[in-house]
Amino acid sequence: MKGAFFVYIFWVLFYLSLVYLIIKTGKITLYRKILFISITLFFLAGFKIFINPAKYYSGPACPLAISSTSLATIRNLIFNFPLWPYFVYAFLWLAFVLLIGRIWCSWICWFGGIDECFASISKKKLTLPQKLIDLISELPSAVLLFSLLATLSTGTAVFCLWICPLKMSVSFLPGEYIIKLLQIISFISIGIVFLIILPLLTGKRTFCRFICPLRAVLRWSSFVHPSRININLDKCTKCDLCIKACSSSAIDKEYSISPYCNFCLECLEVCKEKAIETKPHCKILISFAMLLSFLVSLLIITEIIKCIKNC
Amino acid sequence: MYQELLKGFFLGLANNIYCFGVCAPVLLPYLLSAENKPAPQLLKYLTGRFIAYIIFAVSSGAAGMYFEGRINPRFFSVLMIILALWLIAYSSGKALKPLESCAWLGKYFPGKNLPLYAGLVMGLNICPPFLIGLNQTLGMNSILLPVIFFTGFYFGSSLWLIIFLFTGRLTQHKQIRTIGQLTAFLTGLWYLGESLLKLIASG
Repeated sequence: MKGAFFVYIFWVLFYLSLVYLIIKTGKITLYRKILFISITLFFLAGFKIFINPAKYYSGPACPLAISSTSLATIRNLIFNFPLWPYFVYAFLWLAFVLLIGRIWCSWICWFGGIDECFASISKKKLTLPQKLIDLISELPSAVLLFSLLATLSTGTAVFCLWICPLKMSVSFLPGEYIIKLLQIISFISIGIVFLIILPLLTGKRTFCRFICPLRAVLRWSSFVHPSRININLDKCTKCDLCIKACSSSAIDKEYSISPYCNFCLECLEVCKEKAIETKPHCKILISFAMLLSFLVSLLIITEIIKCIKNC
Repeated sequence: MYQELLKGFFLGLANNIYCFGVCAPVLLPYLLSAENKPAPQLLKYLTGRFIAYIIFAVSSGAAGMYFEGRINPRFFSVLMIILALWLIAYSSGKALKPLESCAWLGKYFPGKNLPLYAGLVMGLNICPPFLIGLNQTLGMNSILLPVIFFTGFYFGSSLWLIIFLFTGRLTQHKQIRTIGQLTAFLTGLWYLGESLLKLIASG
């Protein structure tokens, strides 16, 4: 298909331009956001407009689903062998995300892209009280634990059915209209509040920081993951620029970066003293992140083109 | 007599994981959020559960029919609502301790007897394995035999809950306790919503 060829060429040129601009200008944040939000828009357009998951796509598209869907299915249908490919796909996604670590959050994740989009729009920013941040700091881990326990208890994919603001799962619970209505109210209100309103008001990625259960998985796996980011206190002049720039309120007043950091690297860019250090070196990290996001974007574009061809 | 005990035990053992799944959302967050050792709290929970099972056993033996047929289902929903509100208040009291205005939550809704009440309510919650058990005790024409049967069922279904004894080490970390508190809050909200829906649905 000629059209598909031009789409791929356009995307490759667009991507290479961004790579060039990052290398030339050193402005990671701006061009990362452009790439990140573009992937998100592609994904949303593809998944919500072109692809009918019920007809065309049988596996979870979202690693967050692993916290609910597969566990529920294991519980209910553990001996149903035809479903094993479904699990393999779902676990491959999770393995992929665990392998790349927190790079997922700021370079690929479509939830993060929406959050980033609205957080970037806001000019006047409200500051979240530090006491509130401290109070709900571990909320993503609580959401993850709650989702797992509720799924184990009910045998239904609780996160997908009640919390997921993108409604990645197309299914609703069978039964009365009131249940469906409550589901809709639940995920729309969570989406509107944490993906749109709070990011607009605060300029922070509030869904990523305070709700996302996958963030909790990455937070705990960061202890063993080789990628690291920290502040060299010998170089730090405590100007607080990194704290203000941090999109996920992950830097505290003691200038330590919490495991909830999403590797957006905005702190790295604003630090005049070059006190923010990453392992591996930030150039390797950025190259790796861009390559991965490019590969995932190709996958999404291919799925959309296949679907348009079949339709 | 020992045959009834063994039957109950193996039925409980076969449905062990189900009971674990039902109890975990209430028990695990509570144990993670508490600063004291898990063993006494778990024991209180298991005691509450045992009391509930004996209540069922005596009632099914005495009445000779399903317990649920005799009691309005709204009763269980109300019990669950109380448990949910207690969980919410307890977790809020713990989490909001630094805020002086919320200190009363910790004072009036202590967690001391929460596991006992939670065990009682979760034990009274009729689940499919329990229904199978009740079905078995139908027509036993005795009060003692169902009690023996459900004692065996209780021990069989409680084996997996022993895992929670190992949460003690985790609670030494403040982050884990905070996660437990927040999860208990979310669980409370979940059960509150679920029970209110059941209450409304039952008319």
